[in-house]
Formats: sequence, structure tokens, C-alpha cells
Amino acid sequence: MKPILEVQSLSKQYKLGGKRIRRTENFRELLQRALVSPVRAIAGRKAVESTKEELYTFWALKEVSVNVNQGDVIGIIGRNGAGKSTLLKILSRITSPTEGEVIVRGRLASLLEVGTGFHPELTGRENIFLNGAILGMRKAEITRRFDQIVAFAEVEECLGTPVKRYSGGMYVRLAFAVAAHLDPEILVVDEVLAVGDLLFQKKCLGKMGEVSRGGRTVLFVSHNMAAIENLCTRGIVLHQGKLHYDGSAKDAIQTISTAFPR
Amino acid sequence: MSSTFELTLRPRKGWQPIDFKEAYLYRELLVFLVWRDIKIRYRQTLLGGLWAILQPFIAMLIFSFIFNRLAHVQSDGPPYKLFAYAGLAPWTFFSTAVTQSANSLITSQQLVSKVYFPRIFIPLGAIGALLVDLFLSLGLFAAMMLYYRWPVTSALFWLPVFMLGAVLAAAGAGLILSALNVSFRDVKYAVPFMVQMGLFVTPVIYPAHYVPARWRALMGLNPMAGVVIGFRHALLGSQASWGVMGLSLGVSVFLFVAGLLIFRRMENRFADII
Repeated sequence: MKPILEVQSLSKQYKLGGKRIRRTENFRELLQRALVSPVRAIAGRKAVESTKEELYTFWALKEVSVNVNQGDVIGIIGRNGAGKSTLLKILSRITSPTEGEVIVRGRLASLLEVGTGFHPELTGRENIFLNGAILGMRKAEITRRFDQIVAFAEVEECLGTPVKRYSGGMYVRLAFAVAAHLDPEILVVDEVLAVGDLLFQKKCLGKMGEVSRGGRTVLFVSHNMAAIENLCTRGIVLHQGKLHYDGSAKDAIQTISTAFPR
Repeated sequence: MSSTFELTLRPRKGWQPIDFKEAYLYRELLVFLVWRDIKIRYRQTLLGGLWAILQPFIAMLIFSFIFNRLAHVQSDGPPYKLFAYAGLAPWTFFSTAVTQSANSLITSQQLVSKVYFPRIFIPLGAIGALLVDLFLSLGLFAAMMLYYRWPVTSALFWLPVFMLGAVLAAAGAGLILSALNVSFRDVKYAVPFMVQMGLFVTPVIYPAHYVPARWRALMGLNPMAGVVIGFRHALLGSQASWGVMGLSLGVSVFLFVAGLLIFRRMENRFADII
């Protein structure tokens, strides 16, 4: 059987902003240099520099190849800036790769942030529908799971209240509840479990475990090594955009703590 | 799992075909986005949906006083107030739609950078919601027609065509401007000014025949000129130049197609630079 997800020498290059360094000057810069420089010269100040310089870029991901089989629950770990989020963003089609390709063989849903698309003015009930649709659920699916979502979030009494009046805890509970009832073949999750109080975090982890035992394919980024060890059947270590290790979750955690100590 | 679904994610560069199939798959989301915009537009306001008709109505009163009473601009037949309102209804729709859709992507930054769905729905959703306002303001117009006892003609059947023209023009401009706004926030400042000037180059407060014949073709290049002339033809039975209207509708269609293509070309960089 073919892998459900094939990542083939995937690379992503970002252009660093701030200094606005480009290969070619645009019209405004040309004009600015032509007009402002003489004035500055008279004032005895430095001329406006030409921006015709080498493009300043960096590779957030460099030639990463991974095959994911159906039912794999993969923990992706690495220090800040390792390329974890970039990888998830490419998989969820938010951004396109610079080189390489990904073959996806199944319905993929991603959860990079809790509560994406929640609108503060809308009520809890309305936000369940809106957020569900944004995450890729059909209206019929949301209607079917509505009661489960509400029960999971424990917000029954406040369904008619705009979520801007919710407490922080209620808000994230509702947001996570909608996402937890997504039913894709492949689920991509960024560090989103660190929400709510300890009790709710436990509930979230329980839900994640349930999802992964159900034969679903899960890619999961977290800094919570205990969660990774508990949930994942496989671990991937990224370092400075490159694939550093691919093996069991336990060994991956071992690798990261010995190879890249803080 | 016997999913036959297969999708390849590759680097994207240059012009891309428009993915109608995907837009169709996500159609429910477009409905939700329109519904969201309708719900939140007048939340926590006292007057609610009345705002939709107050804007063109008050503009009509002021313009009637300034241009009709003081400057003696005449309509092309019907009472000036009816004439002005028939132009202001589509114009208000267009100007609000362009302004809101131009800013729609940058006000939905979080959506663009955290979740995937056809991006095109963001500016289009903003426009869809405003159609409700257009219908409300046409409701008031119907009441005004009764008040002035101005007869309805069979030209009314053309109204959907000109509504479509207004939607296509707004969508085309909105798609291009929203995409540009992602890289260049200049758009945010330029649009209100452009819309303000647009009111004067479009025959909203003066009849089209005030424009000298040799400038008519140029006027036809303005997609909203045809819409405004057409609305008056359909609602008030005014004389209309089909040449100008046809040209103008053609420009609307062109603008819409160009908008789709330009947006599609630029959309894969949105998440990286927004």
C-alpha cells in the first residue's frame, strides 16, 4: 500500500523582510534615490543606498523527505526555528513549497491554532458552525456532532452568548472542542494542547489518544515530550530545517536531548 | 480506508488555472462567510439593518439639495430625488463592496496564515453580504416609486443583468485590490479616495447625457457607468444608450476575469507576506 503522505525533498525558502533587499530596484526606490540623494548630499548626509544587493534569504526547510503510512502517529520535535511549523504549513496548503513536493492521499485537516476564525461578536452556537466550516466540516457533519461538541466544551449554558463575553478558559475549551470533532483521514496538529486548565489539558490529551488509536494518521508538533512519548508511534527530529532523525518516538526524544541540549 | 483522493503539493509560480472544482467543494464555507458578515455587520447597533437604507437615503437628500436646488442639475425626466436614489443605490453597493473586499484579506490575517480554504472566498464573501443591503435599499426605492407615483416599465426585467454587472465590477476590483493590499498597504489609503472620486466620474448625481458625446466612449470604460445608467433604465424607464451600457458591462466582465486570474497568481504568497 502506498504511503498516505509522501514528502519528497521538500524545501521552503523565506525572504527576510525588514531591510527590503531586492534583486532589482522598483520604481519608487529608483525615484527616491534620484530625488532624495542630491538633497541629502547638500545636507551633507549619507546618500540613499542602492538596494541592488544580493537577496537575503534563509531556508526554513531544506530537502526534507518523509513517508507517512496510514495509522502512523508522528511526533515532530525540534528546537525553535527547526522548521516544524513551516512543514505543517506546507502540508496544510497554507503556503507552497519552494522546491520538492508532497503527495497527499486522503482528506487532511489541520489545526495550527485554537479558535481560528472565531468571531467575538458571534454566539457560541454560531461560532461552532462557522469554525467547523472553516476547518473543513460540512454543515451536516457539524449538525450531527453539535451536541458532542457542546458537551465536550462544557459550555451548554452559554451557547447564546457572544464569545467575547466568555472567560478565556471557556473560549479555548469551545475552540478545541470543535477541532477535536473533525474527522479527517490525516490530522495535522501544531502545539495547541497547552490550553485550558490542567484538567482540560488532560481531557484534550485523552481525546488525542482516542483519535490516534482509531487508526487515524496524525502529525503532531509539541514541546511536551511526555505527550509525544505517550501518543506517538514515531518521532521525527528537525534541526535548522533539515531532517535530523526519523525513528521511534522514544529515540527521537533521546536524540534531541543529547544532540541539542538547551 | 479506500480513499481515491490524491493531491500533490508543488511549488507554484506564475499564472494558474482557476480551480472551480475546489471552489465548488467548499461552497458551504462561502455561504457561512456571507452569513457571518451579515450577522456581525449591524451587531450591537441600535438601527441595525436600517443603516443599509439610511446611507443612500441621506446621501440622496443632501445631493438633491446641493446639485438639484443649488446647482440646478436636472434629471433626465423623473423627479430628481428618484433619479439620484436610483443611481446611489448601486453606487453605494459598489463603493462599500470595493472598500470592504479590498481590506478583507488583511482583516482576516489570522485565517490566511492559519488555515487553508479557497482564499477567493474572503473578498467574495464580503461582497455577497452587501447584496442584502442592496436589496434593502431597493425596497425603500419601491416605496419612493409609490410615493411619487412613477410608473414601472417592462424594462424592469433588465435589472438582474445590471445587478450582475455591479457584482462583477465590485468583485473584479475587490479581488485585485485585496491581493495588492497584502503586499502594499497603500491600497488601504488609496481606495477610499478612489471611491470618492469615482462618484463624480460616474453619472450618479447627473444624467449621462450631460457628458459630451465625444466623451461617451470613455465613460463606457467605467464599469459602473453602465450599471448606473442601466439601473435608471430598468427602474425608471429612462432613456439609455445601449452602446455605452454594453461596453461598460463588457468592462465589468473583463475586470472580473482579470481579478480572478490576478488573485490566483498572487494568492500562494499571501501567507508568507501578509
